[in-house]
Amino acid sequence: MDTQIQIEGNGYKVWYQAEGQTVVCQGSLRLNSMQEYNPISQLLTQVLEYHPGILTLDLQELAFLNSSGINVLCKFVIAVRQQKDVSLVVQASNKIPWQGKSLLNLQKLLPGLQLVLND
Amino acid sequence: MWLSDQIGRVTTVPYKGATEGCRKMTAQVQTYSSLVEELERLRQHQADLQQERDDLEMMLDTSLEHATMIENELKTKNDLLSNALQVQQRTQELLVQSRKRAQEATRVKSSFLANMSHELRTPLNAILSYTDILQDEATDLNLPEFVADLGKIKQAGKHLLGLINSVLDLSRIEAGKMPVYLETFDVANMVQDVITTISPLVEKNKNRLEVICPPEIGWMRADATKLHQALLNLLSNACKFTEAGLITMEVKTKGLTGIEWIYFSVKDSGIGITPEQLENLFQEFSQADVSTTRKYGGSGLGLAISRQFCRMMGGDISVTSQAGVGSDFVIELPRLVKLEKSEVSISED
Repeated sequence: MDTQIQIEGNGYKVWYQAEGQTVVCQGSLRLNSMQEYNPISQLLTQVLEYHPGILTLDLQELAFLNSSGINVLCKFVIAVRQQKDVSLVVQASNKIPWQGKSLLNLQKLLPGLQLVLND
Repeated sequence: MWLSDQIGRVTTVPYKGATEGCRKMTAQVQTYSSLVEELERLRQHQADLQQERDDLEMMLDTSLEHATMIENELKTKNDLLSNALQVQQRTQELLVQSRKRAQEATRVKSSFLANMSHELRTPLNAILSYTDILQDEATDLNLPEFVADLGKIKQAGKHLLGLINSVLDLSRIEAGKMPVYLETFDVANMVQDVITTISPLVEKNKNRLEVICPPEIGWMRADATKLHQALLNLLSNACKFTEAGLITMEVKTKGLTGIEWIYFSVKDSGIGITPEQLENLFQEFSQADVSTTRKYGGSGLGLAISRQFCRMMGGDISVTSQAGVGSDFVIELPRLVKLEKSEVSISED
């Protein structure tokens, strides 16, 4: 699969790299509403349609994520749980304070979620 | 026949009743089954709803925790920013104070230099004037030894006067009190004046001077005295740092972005300048290095003043040089120098 989908906005970039089956989020996501997050939600939903087996969500360079953004991630994690044939690995960074705390909560929605905190 | 009829009647009546019962029972079983299915469906629906509720509660918790954390982070950053702003404000105040002090110090220094220059020049002019008188008398009395000695006094005195004038120029530039007098003059004539003045110095080190200044260069409007002084400075430097070599002075014009520029290039085949020395070349009181001062003399003010003069006229001096090969200094000035109204006084010629 050579799919390369990408969304770029003011101060952020989200893209899927088929090689490594990874969704990468970079920059600061501070969109104002769930509606504004729609393109990103659609990208995540589209990726699930590929049935990637193991899917990695790389957030190591996502410096900021607002409350609407964390809701999008929660919904995505629930969608992964419902799909049953996808394992989710979340790559996070210890250097970004919110990641260690907020991302742990995602495991409560999807107990099989593997959270990897890198230095 | 009758008997068989009776038997049939007896056995048929209960049979019909049993069939009806069975039907009812079957219907009841079916109803029960449907109810069980419905119940199971409702249970599943309830479980789904419960799951959705749990999910929503979890999402809400996550969202709230996230928001609180971000708020705390923001508060921490705001505190840091507030501290940084305070530091910046304090720094700004200190800078303003320092600037005021520095400006006052510069003003006092310039005033001191101007006064001192005046105080030094008055007796020096007296020495030079009396030297002239004594030289004339010695000539009349036919005392050649005295004439030669008095000539040395006069030469040293003139040199000292030149240095004092340079210091005065610099202090006036720094104090913003150096006026620019604009006049229109013929470039080739002005260059010829400069060449005449510099000729003895060219011969002193057995150098050769080549001048390329076509008469069609025509006129320019600038401060002729300042340009004259800057060109003399470049040429005297070239003569000083070149021995038995070639000095070339070339004047040419070039139109750039609607402004016509005149370039005065003074090129020599002298000792040249290293890249390290180039860095401080236009700094006041700075010569290429200490040994240069010892060997060649000078105050290290000439280039700094010349550059300031050129900049006051909207131009500049640039240099390219290679140690051991030679240097090329270029003065660039607009043909028509214009000054900002507030800057300096302008004389009408």
